[in-house]
Amino acid sequence: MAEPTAAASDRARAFLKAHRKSFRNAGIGGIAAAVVFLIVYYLGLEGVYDLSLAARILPALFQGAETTLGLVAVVIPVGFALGFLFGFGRTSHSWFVRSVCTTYVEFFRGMPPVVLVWFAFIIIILLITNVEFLNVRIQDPFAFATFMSVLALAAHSGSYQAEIVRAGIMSVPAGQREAAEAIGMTRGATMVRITLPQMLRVSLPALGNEFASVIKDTSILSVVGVMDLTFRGQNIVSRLFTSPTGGSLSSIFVVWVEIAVLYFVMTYSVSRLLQWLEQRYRVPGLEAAQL
Amino acid sequence: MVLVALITVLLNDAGIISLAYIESRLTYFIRPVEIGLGATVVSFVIGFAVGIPMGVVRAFGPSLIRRRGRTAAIVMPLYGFVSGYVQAIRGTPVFVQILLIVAVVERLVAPGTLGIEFWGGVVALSVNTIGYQAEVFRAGFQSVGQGQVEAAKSIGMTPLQTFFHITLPQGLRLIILPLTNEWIALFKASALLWYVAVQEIMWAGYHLEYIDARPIEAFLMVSFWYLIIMIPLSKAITYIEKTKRIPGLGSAAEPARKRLFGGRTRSDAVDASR
Amino acid sequence: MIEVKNVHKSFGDLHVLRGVSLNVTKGEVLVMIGPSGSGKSTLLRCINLLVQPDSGDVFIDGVKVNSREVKPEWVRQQVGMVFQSFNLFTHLTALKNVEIGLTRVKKVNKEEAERVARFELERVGLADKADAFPAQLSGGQQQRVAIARALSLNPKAVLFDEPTSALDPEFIHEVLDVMAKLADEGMTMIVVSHEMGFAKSVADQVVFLEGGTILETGTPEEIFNHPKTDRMRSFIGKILG
Repeated sequence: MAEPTAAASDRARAFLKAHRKSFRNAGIGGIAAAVVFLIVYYLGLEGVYDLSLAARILPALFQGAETTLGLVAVVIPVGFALGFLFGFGRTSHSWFVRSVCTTYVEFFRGMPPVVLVWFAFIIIILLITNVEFLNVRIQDPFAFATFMSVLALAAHSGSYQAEIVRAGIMSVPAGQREAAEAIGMTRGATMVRITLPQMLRVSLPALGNEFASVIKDTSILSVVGVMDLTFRGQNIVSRLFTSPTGGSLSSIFVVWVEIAVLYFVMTYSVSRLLQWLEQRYRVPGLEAAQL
Repeated sequence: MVLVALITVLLNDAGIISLAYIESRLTYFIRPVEIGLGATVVSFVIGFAVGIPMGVVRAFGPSLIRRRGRTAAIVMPLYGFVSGYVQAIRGTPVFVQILLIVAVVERLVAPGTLGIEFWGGVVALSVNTIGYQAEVFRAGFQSVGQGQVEAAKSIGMTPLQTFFHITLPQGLRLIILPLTNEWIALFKASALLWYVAVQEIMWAGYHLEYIDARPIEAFLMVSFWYLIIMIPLSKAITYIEKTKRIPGLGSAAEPARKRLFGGRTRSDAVDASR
Repeated sequence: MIEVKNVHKSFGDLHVLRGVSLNVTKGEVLVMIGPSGSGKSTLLRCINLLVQPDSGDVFIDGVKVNSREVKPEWVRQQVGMVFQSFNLFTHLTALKNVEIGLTRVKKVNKEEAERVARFELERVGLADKADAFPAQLSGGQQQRVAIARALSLNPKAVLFDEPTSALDPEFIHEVLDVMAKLADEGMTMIVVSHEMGFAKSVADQVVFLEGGTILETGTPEEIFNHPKTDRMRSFIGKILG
């Protein structure tokens, strides 16, 4: 019975030692964050800014954050589906397929997301109200238009993901495909079993990056009335103006900073998660082999 | 290739949209384009000027700190501040930054000043691009091959000399690509300024739609302007990517650890293909 | 002229140099041989202070160089270095590569610097390639420019870190020739290399380094023909076949 525990503690010790550096960094980061937080809290207590305001709006902001995450949950998968489709299409042998896909990518990457989101909304509204066929079918034009805006954002994200996918596919050395075919694998099987796993590994950091970007871009949807975190912010700020005590610079500042912090927490969590994933699924020696 | 697609769309919808209308409103966009581009360029230049020193701090900070002593004491808070700034900017939406900063600027400076929102927008965009450019420069400086730096030291150059004569010139070549990407991202962010009443391209489209209730045409016109600037730029980028492979220039793939959450840039997609 | 006394160096947990001592007199050529990872490169870098020894001393012309009062930049002007991967400045022409040490470090004026640079390029046989960029030169040519660059500061000694290991076989010869010529002219050299032929013909002293310590030292005659330890014997046997 002594043996297993000795082995376990050895492994624990080895684990701690190997991750010494990251523990130390995490420790420093944690302490720094705690210090900053304490300073900010203290300033609040001293009346430098309206701490109670910060506390009061928190529930509303959390609701907004929920909405934001919900939006992200829609945009990313749709974006990935589109991205994969068009990214893969860009590696096609057919000139036609390639052009179509390239058009999609060039268009949605070159356009500012705001433009896409807002005009999608307004154009859909126009179409629904003017085209009989749609007018009858669709119950709530605004909801539908909002949905289309979300899709527009997804298309935008999709164009970036398409590039990531394309780069990922192209980075898998051609020799891999040749070897697979040489041992008799079909084209399809090669794609699924050989190219895809490698491509995903390579693209993981970039896709994670995109994930974080999407979180940030959902803020744009607030301009079409989606009640996300940013929208709540606008809401609160405008209400502050009409209330007798609000409207001061510091309270506006507080609101937006709090919102920014919430966004930061979201994006930071994602990047941390990403790093952990990368570590976990690392293939030893792969990076060296790819150089 | 892409222009073809654009043209076909235009021709297709000739029935639904009015080309005559578009023609009549063409001049409406000239000033907004100037404003939009202007804001972008000014902010970018500011970002460049402030970003380089920040990139230096981020790139060389850790090694200076590791050496302890007096330099470390000075560098550490500076590095902490710069890093915090960069991470905060890259981790929060541009839109929120714009809303916050413009609100602040509008109140701090004499409110009601004509055109204050433009400068507020410029400040917001500058703050944003500084953060992103600092990262670009950091990566650039760190990508310069270590062998070059060793060789510079071995002929007796001080660290400062090494930086100016070796790291900087080579670094500058490496950052052209990511910097162009950042410019594109900044230009797209300038569209957001529409919301805070800066009269740039998106604003023009919005306003036009408001007056004339022709969203499709407005959209096409707005798209036209953005695309006409973006697409040649991205073609230029792909061209640079393909030809400017300077052999011997260190291209150590950035460790994923350093690649925290960040702005969306094409270079990320490119990096994945290295 | 160069004296290394009992130098230790560790990188984290790895104890790379374990009490190494060397002595090189003026005009002498010392060749260091040994398996990879034995600390040869590290030792070389301790001499021109690209690496700081943890303990022990390094003396150049009687001056203790690993002390706080001595500026590393000064040391590197006394002792030049040639790298395995050449490390030429890719954004400069061959001529500028050789000049830059003079113009920037020694603050020599432009005409004088150019004169010296051209002279050194001539010395390594590349006068005609002065305006070429490193990317346009072959490996052997790049390495020779690197040698010219190291010589431009008129150093008292030159350190060579496996100068031919990264070269295609057809280019090894031209670089070794330049090095041999340099030795003939009386330059003090410390060379880390696997080129046994060179060691046999040009070296005055051969040192065998393994696991961070010197196993054997002596003249080429002694080392190659009368190795004292078994390890040395087997190493020689494998190399010379």
